[in-house]
Amino acid sequence: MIAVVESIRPLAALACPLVCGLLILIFRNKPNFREGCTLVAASIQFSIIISLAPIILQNKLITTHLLTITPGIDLGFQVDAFGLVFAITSSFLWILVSIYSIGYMRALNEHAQTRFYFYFALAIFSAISIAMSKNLITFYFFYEALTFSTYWLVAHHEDKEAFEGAKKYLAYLLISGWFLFAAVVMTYALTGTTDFIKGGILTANTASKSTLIILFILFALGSMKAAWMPFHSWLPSAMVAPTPVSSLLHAVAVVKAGVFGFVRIVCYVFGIDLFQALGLGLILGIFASFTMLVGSFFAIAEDNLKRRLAYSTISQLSYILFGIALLSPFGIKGAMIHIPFHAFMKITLFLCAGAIMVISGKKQISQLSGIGKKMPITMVAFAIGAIGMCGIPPVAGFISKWFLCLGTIQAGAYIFLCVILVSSILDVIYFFPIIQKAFFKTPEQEAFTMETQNPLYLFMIVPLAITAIFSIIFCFFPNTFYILDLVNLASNNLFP
Amino acid sequence: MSSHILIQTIFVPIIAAILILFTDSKKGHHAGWITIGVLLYNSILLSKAGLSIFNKKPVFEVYVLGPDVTLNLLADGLSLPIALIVNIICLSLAFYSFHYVNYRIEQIYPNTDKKTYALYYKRFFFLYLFFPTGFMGVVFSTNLISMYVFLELLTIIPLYFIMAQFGYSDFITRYKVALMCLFWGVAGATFFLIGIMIGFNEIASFEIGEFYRLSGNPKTFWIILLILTGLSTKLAIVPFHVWMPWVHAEHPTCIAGLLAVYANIAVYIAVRVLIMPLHEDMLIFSIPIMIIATITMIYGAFLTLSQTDVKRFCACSTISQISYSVFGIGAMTIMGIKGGLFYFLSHIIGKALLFSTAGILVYTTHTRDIRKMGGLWRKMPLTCILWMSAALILSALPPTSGFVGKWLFFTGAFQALKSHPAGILLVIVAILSTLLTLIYTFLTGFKIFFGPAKMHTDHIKDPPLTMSLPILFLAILAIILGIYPKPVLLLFSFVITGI
Repeated sequence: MIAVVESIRPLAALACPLVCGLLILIFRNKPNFREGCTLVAASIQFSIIISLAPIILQNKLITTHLLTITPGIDLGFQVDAFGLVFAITSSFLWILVSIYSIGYMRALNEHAQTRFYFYFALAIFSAISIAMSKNLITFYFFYEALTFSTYWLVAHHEDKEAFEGAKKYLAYLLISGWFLFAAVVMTYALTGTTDFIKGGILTANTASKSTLIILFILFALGSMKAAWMPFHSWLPSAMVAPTPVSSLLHAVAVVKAGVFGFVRIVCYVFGIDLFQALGLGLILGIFASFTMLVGSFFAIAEDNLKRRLAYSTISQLSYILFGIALLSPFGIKGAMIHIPFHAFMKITLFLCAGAIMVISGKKQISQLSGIGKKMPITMVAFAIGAIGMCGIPPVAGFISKWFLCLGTIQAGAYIFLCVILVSSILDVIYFFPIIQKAFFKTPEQEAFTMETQNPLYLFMIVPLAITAIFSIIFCFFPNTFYILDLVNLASNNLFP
Repeated sequence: MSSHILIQTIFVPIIAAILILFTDSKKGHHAGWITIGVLLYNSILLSKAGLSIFNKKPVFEVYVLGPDVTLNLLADGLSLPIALIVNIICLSLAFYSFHYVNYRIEQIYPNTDKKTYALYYKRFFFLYLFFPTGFMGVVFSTNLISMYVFLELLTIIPLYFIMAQFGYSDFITRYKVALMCLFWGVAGATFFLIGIMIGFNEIASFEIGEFYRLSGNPKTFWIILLILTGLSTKLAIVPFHVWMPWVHAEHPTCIAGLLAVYANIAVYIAVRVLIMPLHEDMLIFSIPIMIIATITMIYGAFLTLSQTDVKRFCACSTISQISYSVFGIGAMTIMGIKGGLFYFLSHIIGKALLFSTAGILVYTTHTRDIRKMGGLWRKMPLTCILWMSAALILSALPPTSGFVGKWLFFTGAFQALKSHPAGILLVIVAILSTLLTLIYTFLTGFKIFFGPAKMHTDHIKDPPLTMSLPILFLAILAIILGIYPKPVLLLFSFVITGI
């Protein structure tokens, strides 16, 4: 039996980025103070969130009720094992990305830095709120808040390209938000509640089969943040943003909120049994496999480093959808654990791409020949991230891929096992040439600058080294930050 | 209990209006303060009635005028919140009008001496006071004939005369548009009248409370159809929407917000007269109403997107917005009706705000062309905030009242149609079409306030606070209703039960 604990600690964790945002606006003329606030708030937030983990692991739920506006619009937060995994990931990476942003933004002498840090804090606030949402309506509120708060981050450069990218970003995500609203209203009209309950709130008796399938389609269209094909093209366009934002979008907040929502919807709104009975697992699996493979093909063809990483994200996110689609304990476990592990590996890659751009000014992969000699730490970290993406030990990606493979076998879907193996090979095809080029090719034109020559190099190199090291630690000790325990608890609760 | 509260809300404004006409003609500005005083007094009366209703004691006052025609007034959970909010909007717009009418008179009748100026000024407020009278009358009447009279009163006195005298275009066009408005208004009301006359033939009563006796009668279908046709000309449902952009664009902006109330109040009439007493007979109209409402939503939104005149823009938006409420009440479930009415309140607040902001833009920039505006953010930050909050309310985003209304009526619509996949698709289309509101309000807002400046902006600044503060208050009201809608919804639920 799961005990429910009332506590305001979730609210305290959420207050950190909000207060931080306010302080950022107040200290807009004192850059050091402003960034200091971000770091302090991020650290406090992380320590609060990690302190919740032991309570959750005693099989308890922590809830905070905020307010009931009208029946149905019932705002509240609830921390469970799965939500906590996402919250831990986001809040920990916020610390590192903040440090990195200091180096990146100052080295490039970017404009409007206050706005940048402010919206960054808001985006983190929305992401953590999503992780802790008690019900669909709270989830929906912060899902929309996330869309709006990231708009100015994507459009940061304010040139034509940035506005084009941001417009596309907003167009996709707004339409998606409206589908999600339709889905939430419909769920409420059918069941009279929107709470996330393990085992789901919908049952086969709730409505006819076709109604439930329409509802699922609405939810799927509402989750365009998960960048499943054919609704993925906003993600590469959003790469016009500064690199810390890209890493935020890809590893911490936006796309992760999308897949997180998907897991919530499948496991806690529909329920695994109903999902299986409707035969939706297969359809979702096919879409996910398609995205995994085609995303990788797009990545192979791309020469811009950040865009290649974006397509890699599209492909990797579908691993998570794929894991849910299997509807087997190991599949779900793989999906859940891939959220933090992919976050750590992908953020390493993005931070590397940003560092390369700041220090050597290169954006295209074809220009990277021989860069490994001048930027050894960066490129080693990049290699670690890339190896992890392909699922090769000793990096964290191996663990999640292992779980996913076990999941396919457990579900008896051997064809999906082939898909995952082929997809891994494709990952190798688009990542390894970069590593090979960086370390074993001689530079063609002018020599690169050493990474240590940039006055702010420490701010950039240290965070990316930390994330790379964590990617390895997670392989040997997947229980760092209680992640494996939490995932096990979540999946055990789903499969009693 | 009969303390003559409601009759006062109707007749005190008229008495004040006559008083205004007879005051010393040199001091036209008194007219405005008298108006404000009367409306404040009305608010107090309505609050008093509201407290009594919270204690589950509806206020009912009996005034017999003749055989079958009465001026019985009823304030219950349905009529009171609407009356109160309409009254608050009238109050804020009266404040807003202080400066605006000044500006209008200078524009239309330049070089007048002080006496003529005061005359026009007084005339405006004289006519303005018929708005609260008409609205209170429509909302509180329990007799269909008196309701009809108040509807006509609204069309003829304030609407026709204010437009004819203080409108925008040249003299001839102004009168033409005013006449058009009058014709449409009278035509709609006539359909309404024919409907109630046939009803009278069957049950020998004009009282709304007796209307339930029509239920099951073979003629009821036609009665409902006639009344609905009458109401949909008021509601500007496609294809009866032609008058709306013209009339709204022509009106002085300070009362254009009240026009949205005038059009949208027919939603209340539909609930009061048709849906509550004749629910069983109305069910057959449910799906057609929802389909037409969806078409109007989409059509109105595209019409709005294509506007370049800031006032016509607001007018076209009204067409689409009213249909949200119509869609909600068309579902005919408890949630749907409550949501539709709540959205009506949210819309009139938001629309008063949007129109008034458009008015401020016209007042300060002396143009109505959106294409000529741009980059006004630096010059008019407060106006920009007002526009954006109006956009938030109208596009029904949390935490404004619009979201609560939207949530309720779409839930109601799903509850009504959840058994047919086609019905579900209809609701989904309607939900997606609400996205268009977000697009047109914010996109136009960005065009006006951001981007490069296209005009000489040196002389432009935020308007005097007496203009912006009253409507800022409306924005705050919408947010309060969005976070704490319970009192209003509780009052609604006293009446809307047992469907």
